[in-house]
Amino acid sequence: MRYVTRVNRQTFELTIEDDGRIAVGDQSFSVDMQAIGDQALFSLLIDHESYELVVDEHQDGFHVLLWGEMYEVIVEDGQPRRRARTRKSGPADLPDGECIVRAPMPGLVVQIPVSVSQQVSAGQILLVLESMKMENELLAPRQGVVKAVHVAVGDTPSLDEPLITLR
Amino acid sequence: MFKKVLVANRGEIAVRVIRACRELGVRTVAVYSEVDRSALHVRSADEAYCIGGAQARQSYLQMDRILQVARGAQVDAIHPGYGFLAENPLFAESCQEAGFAFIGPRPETVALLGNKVAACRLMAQAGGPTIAGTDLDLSDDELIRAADEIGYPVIVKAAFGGGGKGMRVVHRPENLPAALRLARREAEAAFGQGAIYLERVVEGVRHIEFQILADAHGNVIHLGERECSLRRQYQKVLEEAPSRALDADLRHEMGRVAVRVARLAGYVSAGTVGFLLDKDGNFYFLEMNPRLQVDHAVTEMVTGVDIVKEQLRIASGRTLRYRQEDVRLWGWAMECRILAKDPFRGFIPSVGRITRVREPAGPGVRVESGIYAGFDISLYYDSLISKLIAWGETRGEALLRMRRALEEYRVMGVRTNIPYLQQIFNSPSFQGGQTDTRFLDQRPPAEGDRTQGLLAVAIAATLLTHRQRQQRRTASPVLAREVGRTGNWKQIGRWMRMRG
Repeated sequence: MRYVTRVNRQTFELTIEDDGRIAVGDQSFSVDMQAIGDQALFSLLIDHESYELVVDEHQDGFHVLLWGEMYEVIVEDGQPRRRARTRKSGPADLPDGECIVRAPMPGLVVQIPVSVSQQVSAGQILLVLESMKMENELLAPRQGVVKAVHVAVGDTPSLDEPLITLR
Repeated sequence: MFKKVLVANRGEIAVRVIRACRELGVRTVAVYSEVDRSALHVRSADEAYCIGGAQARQSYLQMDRILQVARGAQVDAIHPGYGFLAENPLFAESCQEAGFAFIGPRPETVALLGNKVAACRLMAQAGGPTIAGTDLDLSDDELIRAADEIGYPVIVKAAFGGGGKGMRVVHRPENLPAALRLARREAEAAFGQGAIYLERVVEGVRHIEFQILADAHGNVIHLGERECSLRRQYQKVLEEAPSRALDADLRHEMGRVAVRVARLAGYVSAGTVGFLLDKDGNFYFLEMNPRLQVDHAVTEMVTGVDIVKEQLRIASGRTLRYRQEDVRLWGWAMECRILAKDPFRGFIPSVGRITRVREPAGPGVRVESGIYAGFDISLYYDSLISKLIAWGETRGEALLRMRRALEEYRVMGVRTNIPYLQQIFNSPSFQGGQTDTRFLDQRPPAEGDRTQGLLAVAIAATLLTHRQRQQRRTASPVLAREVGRTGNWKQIGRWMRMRG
């Protein structure tokens, strides 16, 4: 079975043969991959050379961690690729002119100096999020009116959770 | 020696202190917040008491509750670790007033050195230049005026702080007000005191710290230096001992000044004198840290001295077991701080359950850890989850051991900075010891600088994982799409052959 993979905008064509070997051009290699426990940790033997790596599946492909480097690999095998549901982590205007400020990291809400219906200018502090002892001021990405505040002081939003909606 | 010691801290340092107590036959009392019931320090101690809510100010910074536990458990002494209450003179004083030995310097010494401006004056008395800075207790307006006199860039520092918390470099006057505001709040949250001051930024220097041991009988020695230049955004990332920048003469000279500073401060216990060192061998006093440092272990590895046990002996009134001439440096040690931060997403904190840990071991490797599989990393505390220390006969051996140990280290469930540390250890300029305090901020995690052979391994692993997932998703055979030649197969074939 032939596959096309893309890593960092480079494209490679490989074949997994019936006996499990991986072929690239006229070369082929024996590969043996074993999951270590039920996690994303794997032991890989390529022609008996041993590697240990972490493989995580993401919406936009696989993230492979090996020797301190992260490889983002996309595999195409003739199946229509699942549409990547890209979640916006930064603020972006939605079609109806609203803008959602999301948590850039998991944290504790320590201050919300704005309230609903308040007019804010670009760069104004909307919320202070504390995480692992560092304080982060979340600033208004543009001017607008606070339409909704989705969290309260003392809440602990997770990564990408909506905090404040501007319109 | 004490019979029972309360450890007013959490994480790896609480475990470290408990280990020292165990070796000395001293019983230990842990205190913990509501989210730390299952933390390693609680599991390691002989007794444990809950002292409040998850936020540090509701628990680990609650002096009264800690003292109440100390009374109830009838301890003899209290070890503050680092951070939290370690440099709060009021806590040191309250411990003594309540009849407990404070395992650290005297309250008045903590107060004196805590005021970093007063500490600088003291250091000037010991003979040597200091860096231009402001007084404490200035208003924002006064600080803004002072910054114009000192000249930009300036660095905002927490007067009662450490560990980079509340620290910020400001290059332009218009950014100063926001930096002052954030620094005050961070300092308040981390240390319970919001006082800040400004200092001129000296660029391209090394940060060198001397480990001091002093007893209550007037004996003061130093255990050599630590190279602490490798910082990311003013937080130390890795340390080594000794420093490549010091020869025996300079070590002797700086060590003598460090000892003199400690004497002038009336210092008792373990502490550190920090210097900036420029390329020409000129050094400037920075501060004296009146606490056990995060990076004390590298000094322990090259001197053989157990600094925490020495602290316990000193606090119980004994004289130092070493004279200066007994201190011999042997080999080289390095320490990496393992942080729950994602180096591939701008080092944002990574919280959640640790699902798997494999700690490195083998010759010359030491792990000081506060985590285990099943433990939840909380957003309420520092991101330091463990320290990895490697020792070698030479710097080269220590470095290669650290590389090996980093590769062995597996933490699953949360993201850590281990990949980033591996990249540093692969960097030729780090290997050559050419580091200054800007080194890391000038080198973000590498992008696209990858070994081609490993790329092939990554692709193979992905393919197999992908196929496995596909087979699980659908039982019917998948019809392969005929794909065109891509032209890269020769390259990857070559990499596959090269990978050994």
